[in-house]
Amino acid sequence: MKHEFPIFKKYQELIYLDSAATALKPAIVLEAEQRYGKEFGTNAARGLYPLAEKTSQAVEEARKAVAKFLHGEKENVIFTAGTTAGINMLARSLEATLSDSEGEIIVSLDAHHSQILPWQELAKRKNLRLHQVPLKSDGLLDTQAFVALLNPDTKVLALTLVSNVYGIIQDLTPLIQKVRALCPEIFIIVDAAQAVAHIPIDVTQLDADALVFSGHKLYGPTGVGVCYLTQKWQERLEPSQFGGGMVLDTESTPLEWKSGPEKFEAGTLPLAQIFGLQAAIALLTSIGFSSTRKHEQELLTYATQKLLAAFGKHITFLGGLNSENKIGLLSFTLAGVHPHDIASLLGEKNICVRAGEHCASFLHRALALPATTRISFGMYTTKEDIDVFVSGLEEAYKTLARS
Amino acid sequence: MNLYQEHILEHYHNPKNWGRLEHPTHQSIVKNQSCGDALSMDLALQGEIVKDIAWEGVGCAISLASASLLSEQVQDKSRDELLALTPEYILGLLELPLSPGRLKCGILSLEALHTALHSKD
Repeated sequence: MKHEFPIFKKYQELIYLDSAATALKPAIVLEAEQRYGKEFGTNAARGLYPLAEKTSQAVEEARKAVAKFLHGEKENVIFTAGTTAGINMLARSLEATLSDSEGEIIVSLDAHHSQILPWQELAKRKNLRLHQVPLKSDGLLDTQAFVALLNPDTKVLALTLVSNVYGIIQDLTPLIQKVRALCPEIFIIVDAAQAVAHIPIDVTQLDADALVFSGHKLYGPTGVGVCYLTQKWQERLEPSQFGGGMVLDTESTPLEWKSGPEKFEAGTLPLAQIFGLQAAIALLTSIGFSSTRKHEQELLTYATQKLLAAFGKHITFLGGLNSENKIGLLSFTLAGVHPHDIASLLGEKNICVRAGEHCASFLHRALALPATTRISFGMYTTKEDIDVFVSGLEEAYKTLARS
Repeated sequence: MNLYQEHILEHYHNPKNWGRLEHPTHQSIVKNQSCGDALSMDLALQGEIVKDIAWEGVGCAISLASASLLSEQVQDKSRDELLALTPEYILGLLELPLSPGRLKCGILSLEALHTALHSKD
């Protein structure tokens, strides 16, 4: 698979185990971005000449491809700049629907900063209460804890499909079904940033009001993302960004917005990146999730066993050892050795791992862990990569472990 | 460049002036929130002159080696002399060019020293 990813031509010794931060880009994605510039080049949804219409049509094709990928409707696919942009946009749009000091927001504690801070800020602006719900000790979602907090005042429920620290695929459906029955008007937003490259997502079956992700985590370009937003909430929410392409009538009072995704897509879209995203989705679809899942689970089991054999009781894994319910991601601590030292020493050997809080400081504080080391896999990761990583880690441990 | 050179590892594994003072005149505790490093530093001053130092901490090799190296330099120096020390001075002691990502680890010891010297202000 590595030959499909040009970065490995430039850095032949690269052992890249940080795909959860961003996945490397395959040649077909880079070519698709170039194709926009070389063969399209025009803006979308504006010009009336054929080349502009061709670009508009290509964007709608990409929208259709995203909808199919998510098992949803094309009209619900809003292009954004990424997960963070999508969540911030929704938090701003929801603000207009909320009254001061009336309401609560519930957030799961395994969220990364972009699924917590926008809600924390919204709660501050509107003087709302914000609850952060811890996970169970095995890293699984505590449905009961969420349900216990629900009340008629709950306005927003912000969930994470896969945490970037645990890598556990959470079964959100039972919780969402219960919430729907108890609080039909609540806004449910699912952060799928870490899930989207690893498991099939069915937005219709999931039944959230919004689902967000970034292109770059699924082998696509940076600077593009998707906010899948149901018709009901597209109609209910006011846009939070204003500009070209989203207004219907500038003379009406109040202003009349376009309907559909355009209402939330002010300004020129990241067109080259949308082309790249579509190519990434086509690649993942052609390989198939059953095949990528199998590959990741094999790597996860292999890495876990090798690490246990090398470090025994000195290594602690976050979120347990069950590879069945995880994406290809493993966070751990090694007794007596600081994650930053591990990452620096491995970095000197061209082995890329993540060390720190992984933009999930709330979770780390709750676990009383200052930092962890994380490895995460992509479709290009091999068992040989794991071998090099484990021997590099053994060497680092010898250098750093204090008796 | 390799960060983990012999002199860094030597100070990391065998830190100098490790522990607490029985009668400190100045003290500090500083933390690097983003990576969980924490240093506590005790100083004993006679007038304006540092006569003794001890410190303890948890953290990465760079932050601990930096504290150990700095602790060797402070005895019999005046408060003003020590308050004038800069991050560049610490990088000189470490003999390392630290990337922006690791700079905070390297200079946490200086923050501990300056916070302690200001603790009676």
